[in-house]
Amino acid sequence: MTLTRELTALEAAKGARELIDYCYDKGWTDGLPVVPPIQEFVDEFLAQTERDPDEVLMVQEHLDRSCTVRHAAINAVMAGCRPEYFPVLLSALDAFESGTARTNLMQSTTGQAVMTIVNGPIRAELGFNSTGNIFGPGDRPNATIGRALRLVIMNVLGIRPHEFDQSTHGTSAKYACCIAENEEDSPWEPFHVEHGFAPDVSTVTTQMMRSDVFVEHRKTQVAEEILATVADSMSYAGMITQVTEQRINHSCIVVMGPEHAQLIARQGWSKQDVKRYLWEHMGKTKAELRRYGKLHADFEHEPEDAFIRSSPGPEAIYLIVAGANNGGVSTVCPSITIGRGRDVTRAIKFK
Amino acid sequence: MADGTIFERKGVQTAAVLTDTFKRPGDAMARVQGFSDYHYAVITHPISSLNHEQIRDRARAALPEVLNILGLPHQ
Repeated sequence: MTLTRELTALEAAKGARELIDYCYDKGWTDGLPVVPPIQEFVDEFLAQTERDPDEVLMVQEHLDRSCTVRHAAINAVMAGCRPEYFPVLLSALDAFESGTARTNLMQSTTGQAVMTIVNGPIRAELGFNSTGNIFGPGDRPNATIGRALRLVIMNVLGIRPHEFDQSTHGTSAKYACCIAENEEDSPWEPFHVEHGFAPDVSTVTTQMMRSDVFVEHRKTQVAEEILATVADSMSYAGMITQVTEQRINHSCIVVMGPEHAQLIARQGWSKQDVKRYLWEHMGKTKAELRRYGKLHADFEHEPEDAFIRSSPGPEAIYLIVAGANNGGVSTVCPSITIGRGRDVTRAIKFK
Repeated sequence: MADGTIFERKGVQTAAVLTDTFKRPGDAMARVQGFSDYHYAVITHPISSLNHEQIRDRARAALPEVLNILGLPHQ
């Protein structure tokens, strides 16, 4: 690099920092730096879709806010997305709007994150991570599409901390939570095929999750021992809501590591068998609920050793296989939104 | 707060009650709904863990302000 070009690059970097600071001053960030959304960048994203830039994607009537395709593009730029990621984000926003966005849980004290799950060929085409460190940092599509969704919630819908976002704690997954299923290492049909899509269709699914809970079991070859451990992790006392009708409407996104999934499948368990087992064992006995002070009056007539299920049925449990095939580890994500809304899984619309 | 302001807009006289910790989002919601100076009653947080008698105490404490908002006489 010549001295002149080096100086030009330094000046450009200083200018970029000024623009980044400008975005901070405007209150447009999630606390991390954003890419300044100049018109030229936004136009590159809008060119990835045939949808009208003024088409409304989401509405929050009580906040007098709506999100258009253009708003989504601006926030995708800021999140650090590449332009070709934009169709994924648009379909994720479609799924979120018809699914769980109108539950008002974005403002809840429970502080839920939006989880995005990607299936199909788009995973390889865009380079999504579906293997190691699936909930961690390091992969641009996962990190930036998940982040773009959060920036839309904060900047466009106006749901920001200390005001309309009333989370008591929130979760670090609120920065970004976008995973791709590890279809290659899964012994079962992929999530989107289970839900009626062809294997060669790329889909995106959105749900809300309250946290991600680590589940370990490396010392067994007995499927039931792993499944009992997963079910217990889905049922911890702090997860159980007692004060509303939600007490029997909990749901869960189970992100099973390939090692667990393959061991269980080798012993003859289908995906539906696993979901049924987890549903049957997600909950606590009446005596346990009493001990935790979470026994609702509705269950007073039950015997003390009755098992009170927390979830309405196997359909309230999502089973995704993701992560590296290198350890007996899974993750469970408690949720209260599976079953709410419609069309939470969408085929990604490409131009 | 959103419900209270929506009722007011429909002509239904309403008294909204917030616990003190929700004043900030409450004020923001009133502002978004076009009621920047919306008058509401504030009670002490929390309420979800209280027993019936404690809830009754909170209600008693809020009552004068609720009656004031509704323009009703205090006893």
